[in-house]
Amino acid sequence: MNKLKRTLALVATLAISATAFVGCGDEESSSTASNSESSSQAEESSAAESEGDSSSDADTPAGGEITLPTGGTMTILTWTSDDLKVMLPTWQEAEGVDESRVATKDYGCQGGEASANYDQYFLGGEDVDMMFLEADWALKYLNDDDVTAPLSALGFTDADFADQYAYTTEISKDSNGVIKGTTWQAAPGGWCYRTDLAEKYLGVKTPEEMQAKVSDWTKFQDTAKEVYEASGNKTALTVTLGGIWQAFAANRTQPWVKDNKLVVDDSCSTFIQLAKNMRDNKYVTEIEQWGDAWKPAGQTDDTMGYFVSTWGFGSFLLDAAGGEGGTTYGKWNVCEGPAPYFWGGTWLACSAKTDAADLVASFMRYFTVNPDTMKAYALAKPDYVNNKTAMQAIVDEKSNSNPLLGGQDQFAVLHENAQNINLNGLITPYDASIKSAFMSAVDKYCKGEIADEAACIEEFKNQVATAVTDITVD
Amino acid sequence: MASTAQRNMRSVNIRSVSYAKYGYFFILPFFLVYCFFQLWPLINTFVLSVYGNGKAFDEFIGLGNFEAILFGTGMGRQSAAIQEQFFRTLGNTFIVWVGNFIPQIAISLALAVWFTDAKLKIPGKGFFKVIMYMPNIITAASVAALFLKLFDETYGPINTFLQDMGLISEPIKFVSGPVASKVMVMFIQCWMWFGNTMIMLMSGIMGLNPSLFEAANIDGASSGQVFRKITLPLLRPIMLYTVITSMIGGLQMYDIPYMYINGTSRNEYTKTVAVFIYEHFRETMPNPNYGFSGAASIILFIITVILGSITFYTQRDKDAIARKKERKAHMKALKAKQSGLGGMEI
Repeated sequence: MNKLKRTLALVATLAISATAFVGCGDEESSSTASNSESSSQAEESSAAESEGDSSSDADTPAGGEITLPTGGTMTILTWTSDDLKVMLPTWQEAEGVDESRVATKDYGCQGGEASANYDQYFLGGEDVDMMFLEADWALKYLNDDDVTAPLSALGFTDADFADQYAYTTEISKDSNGVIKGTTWQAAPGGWCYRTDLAEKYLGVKTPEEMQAKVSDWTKFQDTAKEVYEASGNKTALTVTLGGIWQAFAANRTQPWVKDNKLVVDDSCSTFIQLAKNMRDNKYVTEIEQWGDAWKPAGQTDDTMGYFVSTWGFGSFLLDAAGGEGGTTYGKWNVCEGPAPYFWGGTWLACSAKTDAADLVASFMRYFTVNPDTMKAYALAKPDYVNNKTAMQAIVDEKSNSNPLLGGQDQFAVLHENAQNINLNGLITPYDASIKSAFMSAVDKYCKGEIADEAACIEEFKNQVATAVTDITVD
Repeated sequence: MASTAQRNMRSVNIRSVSYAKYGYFFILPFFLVYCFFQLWPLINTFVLSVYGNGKAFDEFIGLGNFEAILFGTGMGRQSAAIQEQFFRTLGNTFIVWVGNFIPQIAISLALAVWFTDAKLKIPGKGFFKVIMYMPNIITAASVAALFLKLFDETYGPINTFLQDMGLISEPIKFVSGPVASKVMVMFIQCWMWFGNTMIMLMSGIMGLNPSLFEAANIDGASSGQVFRKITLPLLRPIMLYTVITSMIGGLQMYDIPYMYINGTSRNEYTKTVAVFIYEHFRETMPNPNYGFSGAASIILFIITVILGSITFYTQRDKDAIARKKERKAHMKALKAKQSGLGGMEI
């Protein structure tokens, strides 16, 4: 009896300690197993390729077959279910996909934090087929062939993406120009302004007239001066430096990093001077983007405008107007602004280790290639989809009228901007870190904590040197 | 008779020995989990600190990270910049800790003495204790959100109120100003932790022998004298504990400085070493600077050990040490005496 008790106690103890380690033990073994499997698979497939290279080329005509494994469960990695909760049911119903073949791993965090979570998940070696990526760090994975597969392996050709806005396709390419991602949404931005203030201080009545007053950065500053003086030194033309930067940054002519070296070009000093001038003369308020005063400012006469991209109309601009029926609800209009730009957006990529390539391909085709289904989704969600034909059709139908903008159709304006964004060769994996280092240095200069422009650039270089250790900074 | 007793003793011995080792089995899971999830990561920090940053995270570089952080040499622009960052954040950490600890200990001590004073008979003691402890229960995130709303630089109620009263003409930069933001973080830390410190000091005071206070009262000591001559000296061990724990906590101060920011831009005046470590470990895209983070953690650890030792050394009970020495000397003398007599005295 005693012996039995002791044995039971020992077993229970071991069981407890075993459960404590079940996570890591399991993961390790499975990952090593899958690694060895995949490596042997890779060997086989490479052998097969070298044997029959010409035949496999002949077998797959352009836009044809899926060369990755199919038939498994599609696991989707994401950080938000906002889009997926609408997309998944729509797609499953249309394509007749069984519920059991789709699994979602939702981290429920901010986009910027998702990357670290993904890295952890990949270490675990568990099933992953499709992942959501944010433009800021998409290249980290798109450049890594062990993580993401080229979309040609899913049967897509470059022609399939011809109808997407050019800038989104640029972000989808890895450093060799191979398309490895795609997106269902485009996020072109415009400049939103208060119509009542514009009429009062500038005598402007239509978005076209307003656009003429802010069509480039020089005019933007002149108009700012006009507004500030007409309002009795009270109203700033726009609310945050961050917003100006969002629009300005998309129009650089050189990438931030060239030959692994930081590029500090004229556009940097142009922006520094612009920012300093705007801030010193109070043409822009001292409010910070995403700060507590950012949205309430829209209900005061302290500022006349916001830089807003497609998703902003339903979120922060709506809040800035005080919600539906708020103080300034309906008193806004949007125009192209000084420069075409984009702000945000979510990309899709296919995992290199996928076992459900058929479903991934079907999902991507439904939401990022097919103009009919994309148009339906754009109207249902509503979202600004990444398809010129679909958006043109929506604009032509003139069915969209936004009460926040007093009935104006923001799509018509943004559609123009989206086609003019040129990102060819400008994207690097370090953009997010470098941009925030630059903004931080400019902010210090504008607050007077840094003496002059040269010191501001010095500070910017120092910050980049410590934040991005992979590149050289002179 | 004697043999029976012996036999009984033996059987008792055997029975008691047989169960002891199972205890170790029961505590084994904890130690296994501890080793894997705490001890190993701790050791790994030391390992990471001698490896490179970014893409070169697996490249052994010896003490390069330490050299860069402490002396600003070895890596060109990078090392000078990282040194400047580290020492600025270290300076912030010390200023904010000292600035919150001094008022905090003063307030807590005063309140602890008043609440434990039998003569004062404060009504609703329990209520006040709960109210004062309350800020510590609220999570730091909520506290930061609360203060950000109250002290917003543009439309915050405090600034609006002060402006309406005509006390200030321009809003005070409570969140981003060089002095005001530091003072705010000090205030928040102090406000969050004084209740906790007060409870600790109260338990210390209540543990003192009440007859000492009675005797002092009978002898006609004033409350100031009682505080200086009885409470403070006897409270020294608890005070030491408070200083050391608060110092360790203060050097690692992270949550409020991390969250008390305007929008997404973190200002330089409230950035602490812990925030510096986190930023390099987590927020540098696309590849984290594990080396700098690891080295900075180790340096912070060494600073904590040094400061802790100094505090412990200066605050130790000198009388007790003197007494111990005396006793030792006495024993020695006694022994010498005994050996001198050849132990014949006994």
